[in-house]
Amino acid sequence: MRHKILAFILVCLVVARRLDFASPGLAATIAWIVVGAFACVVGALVLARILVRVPRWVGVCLCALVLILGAKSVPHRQESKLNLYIWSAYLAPDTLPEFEKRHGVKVSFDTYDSNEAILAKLQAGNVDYDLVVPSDYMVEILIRENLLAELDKGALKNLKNIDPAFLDKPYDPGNRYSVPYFWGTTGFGYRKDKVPGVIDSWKVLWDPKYRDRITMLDDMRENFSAALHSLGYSSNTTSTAEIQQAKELLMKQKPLLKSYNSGNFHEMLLSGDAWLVQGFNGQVAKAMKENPNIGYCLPKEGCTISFDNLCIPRNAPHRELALLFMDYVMEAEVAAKLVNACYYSTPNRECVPQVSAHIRENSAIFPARENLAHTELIHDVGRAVEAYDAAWTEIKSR
Amino acid sequence: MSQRHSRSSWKAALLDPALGWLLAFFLAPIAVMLVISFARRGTYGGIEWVFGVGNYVRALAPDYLTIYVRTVLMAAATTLICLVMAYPAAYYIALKADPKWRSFYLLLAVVPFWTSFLIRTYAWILLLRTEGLINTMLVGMGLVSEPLKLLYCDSAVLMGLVYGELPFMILPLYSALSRLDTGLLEAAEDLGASPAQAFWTVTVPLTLPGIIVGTVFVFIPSLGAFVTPDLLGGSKSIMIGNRVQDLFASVRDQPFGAAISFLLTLIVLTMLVGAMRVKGRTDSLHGSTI
Amino acid sequence: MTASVELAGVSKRYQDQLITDSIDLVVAKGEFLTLLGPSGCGKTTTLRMIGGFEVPDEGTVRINGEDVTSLAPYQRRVNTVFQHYALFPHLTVFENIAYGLRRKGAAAERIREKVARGLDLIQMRGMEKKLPAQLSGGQKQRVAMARALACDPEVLLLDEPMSALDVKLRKEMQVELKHLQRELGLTFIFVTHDQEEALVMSDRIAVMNRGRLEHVGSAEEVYERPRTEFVADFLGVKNFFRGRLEGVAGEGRHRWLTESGLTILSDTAGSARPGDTRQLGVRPEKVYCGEEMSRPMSNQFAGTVDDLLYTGPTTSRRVTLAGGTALEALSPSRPGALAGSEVQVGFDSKNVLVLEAS
Ligand SMILES: Nc1ncnc2c1ncn2[C@@H]1O[C@H](COP(=O)(O)OP(=O)(O)OP(=O)(O)O)[C@@H](O)[C@H]1O
Ligand SMILES: [Mg+2]
Repeated sequence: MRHKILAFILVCLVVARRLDFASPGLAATIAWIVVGAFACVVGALVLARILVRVPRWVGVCLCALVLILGAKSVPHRQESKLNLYIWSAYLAPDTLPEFEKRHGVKVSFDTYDSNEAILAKLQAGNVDYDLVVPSDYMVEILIRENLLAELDKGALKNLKNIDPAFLDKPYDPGNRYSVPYFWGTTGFGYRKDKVPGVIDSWKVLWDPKYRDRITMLDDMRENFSAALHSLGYSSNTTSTAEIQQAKELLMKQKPLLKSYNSGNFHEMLLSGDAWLVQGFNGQVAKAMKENPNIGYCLPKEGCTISFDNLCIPRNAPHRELALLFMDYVMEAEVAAKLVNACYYSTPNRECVPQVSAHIRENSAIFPARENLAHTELIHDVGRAVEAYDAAWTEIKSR
Repeated sequence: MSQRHSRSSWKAALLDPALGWLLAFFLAPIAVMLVISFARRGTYGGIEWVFGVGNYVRALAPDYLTIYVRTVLMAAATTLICLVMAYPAAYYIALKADPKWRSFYLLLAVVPFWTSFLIRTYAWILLLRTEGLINTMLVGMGLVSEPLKLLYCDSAVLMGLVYGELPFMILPLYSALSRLDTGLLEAAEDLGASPAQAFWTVTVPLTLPGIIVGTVFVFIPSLGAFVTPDLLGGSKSIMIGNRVQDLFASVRDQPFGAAISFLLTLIVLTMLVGAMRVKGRTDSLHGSTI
Repeated sequence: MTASVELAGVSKRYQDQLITDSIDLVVAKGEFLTLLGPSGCGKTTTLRMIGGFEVPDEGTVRINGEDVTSLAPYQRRVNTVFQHYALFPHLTVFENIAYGLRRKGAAAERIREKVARGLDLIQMRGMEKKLPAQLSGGQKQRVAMARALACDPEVLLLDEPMSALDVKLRKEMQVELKHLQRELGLTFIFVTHDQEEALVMSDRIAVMNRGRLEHVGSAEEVYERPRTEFVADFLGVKNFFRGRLEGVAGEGRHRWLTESGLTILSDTAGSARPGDTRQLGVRPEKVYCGEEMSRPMSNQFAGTVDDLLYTGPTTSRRVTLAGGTALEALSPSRPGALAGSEVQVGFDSKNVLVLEAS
């Protein structure tokens, strides 16, 4: 009996650990299923021999437990509620209470940490979100998949607050389906005390002086963007020759890298483990607040820019309310509070005076307009992604 | 356990609700994966239902072979280190420790599982990084002049994997060792075997089923690891799990990702059948089930 | 004859419980010595100290004159046939027998030869490829023997090797084992709690009780002249009387007066002096009843047959004497014996055992 219990604990551990990896994001979940599945099949086969000796009721209880847990995780619709599906840390503390008070409704929200999660949820079609916040390329996909509702511009009186420079982007010409919420750039953060001189170019990330103090994002397209921009090419090139050149550049850089890091590069900057980190402006900005010795560079060769946009799913149950909310967050005062709380760049030009001075002066959040001249959106490059992927595999396999 | 019995227990297995559930839950994704693996990536992500073996041809490119080799080597090294570390621990718990402490020791082995694997991995990062606790201490005590490179290298990945998988080796080994008839060790010594000889000629062969199960439990998850190489290895020398994750998450080439996953599944299943054979043979000798 | 195994003042404790109490024992070369005693009396423990599996708390163990008290089992030329055989389940019969030889690094040729000889000895040729799980109890026992013998031990220790066998097989194996021992001229130390087995096989028997050796002597001596009440009882003496030595009767006999008022004559008085009390014992098979008494006996009483127990060749009768003392008599079965009949019972003074306290 002791051994059966032991075996059972083992199963639970295996399962528990696998579940550990299951982050809410779809991509991670798929990867989890695929990578985990073969381990699990294996587990199942091994356990076939063990489980049959576990009393049947244990099996039944196990099934029941899983069903109960599964059932609990299916969100149930509540009629009078506005349902948001939004990135984590994308709201200010009083954004929702204020809206609730003003309109006498309830607002609930779920968070995700990858765009693919939105796609999966909307494709599955059984969840009733009224508002989602996809990034640029995902807006394009959602429009193509016919998952978004067209916006009634008449209801969006505050749309005038948005800087026209951030409207009418290629992923949604004319903003028929989306309005920008936050935007961001991918440059690099650096330690002013460790990296002297004028920092304005990607080139410093290839400087052997800083071997083992440099990190790059663990992201194929961002790596190539940095390399392609420093070569003077577009980050959306489909030219095999240009991709090859970028690959050579990245291969040359790899020995200098401490790590590829998309998660906590800003912390490495703070702790001094790394001095030059490719990263998103928002995270670097937070580090800058804590340590004035940290700077953020938008390289002169160009860098990528991205937008997160408010969209209404086609099957949203409360479209009217969603539009009200959209309009609400575009109010100057509300937008300013969002910036103060989240440290992200806002497309809302009217809110700027109300933003705290130290944020307004933070060059990572409010870069000079001329520095944005060379920014580029990342597009889906279609079939060329295979060339990128082959090159990336080569870099990563070395 | 006789051969005949084990066959009938397979039949019983199919009737068991728990197992049926397991099969449905785990086999279904594999089947879906298999179908997808023959399709191709749509121009803008997604799946285009044009079937071919192109993904499998791509999966055999030299770069991938390098990654496979590294992955297998890492997993093998993890398994070996786990085995070497877990055996003495399990031996002590099963045969030497005071029986009333046994459950406690076993509990200790699984206590880390009470916190999230990610949190524990981040804890290791805090310890190992350049400005981390260990390096600060070493430099502070003047033992080294420059911080050591403890993080973002293969040894960090190996350490992380060993750390994560160790209990999965200890538990089956404990189980096998605790049913070892110590009288046989006395018999061996009586016949002139030194304790070391007795260990190699009696203990090891008789705990082989536990070694096999532990090896399977450790090797297979290590083969699919992607969190550890990502966080502790800085994603610099990746394992195949990272590639699969990448293919699904950032490249959005699901068919190719599925093909690679399926190849791995196939390899693992082959290995597993082999392991079960060996284990079945040893089991029939002395009625051990784990 | 030199001593093959010598125990001097060997004591062993488990958690303050004395398991063996200062055992002194000398076993000669080529001798078949049996440790006989009830369950839990310390036989296995004694054997394990000779084998090297336990270290005595006090005393020394010598093998061939060499002090081996603290040597590990594999450093002693002693081999054991274990109570449950302890055959290696993962090895074939051949490999089990070859195990000891392989550990000594014997050449393949020699191993083959010795294993073949061993297999011949146990008459199991052709079974070398089988695994222990595929053998019968008797076969396992024989393989265990062959395995121990293949190492050419100077002393073979056998811990109840036949306890798992059925009676018939056990009888056969007893004979085989005895032959083998004579043939090889080895020292055997054999543990059993079966007195019959001990009597059949042993040159000498050491009777153990609660960690002490109560009587060590030849089979005949232990059987015929048990030293203590415990030994007598263990070896089948059923009739006991507590008596006081009154004095000397005629013809050099000693006269005893029992508590129930019987007068019993014995040939010896052991260490007893007049006035001392001793336990007296008589085997049931030495007690004669009625017509079995062809001549008058030196101890003869009238009594009533209470009970008859027919066991096939023999019948056991319980006879109650005048003073209330009960006597058990064992005699060849004959028709016509009835319970309730008045009989004369008697036994010879030479069959009266005078026993020391345990
Ligand atoms: N490891 C041990 N720890 C504590 N007590 C023990 C241990 N081994 C034996 N004993 C005790 O020592 C006493 C003698 O044990 P031993 O095994 O020598 O008996 P034995 O004469 O061989 O009995 P049997 O005929 O039943 O095999 C028993 O009372 C037993 O409970
Ligand atoms: Mg015993």
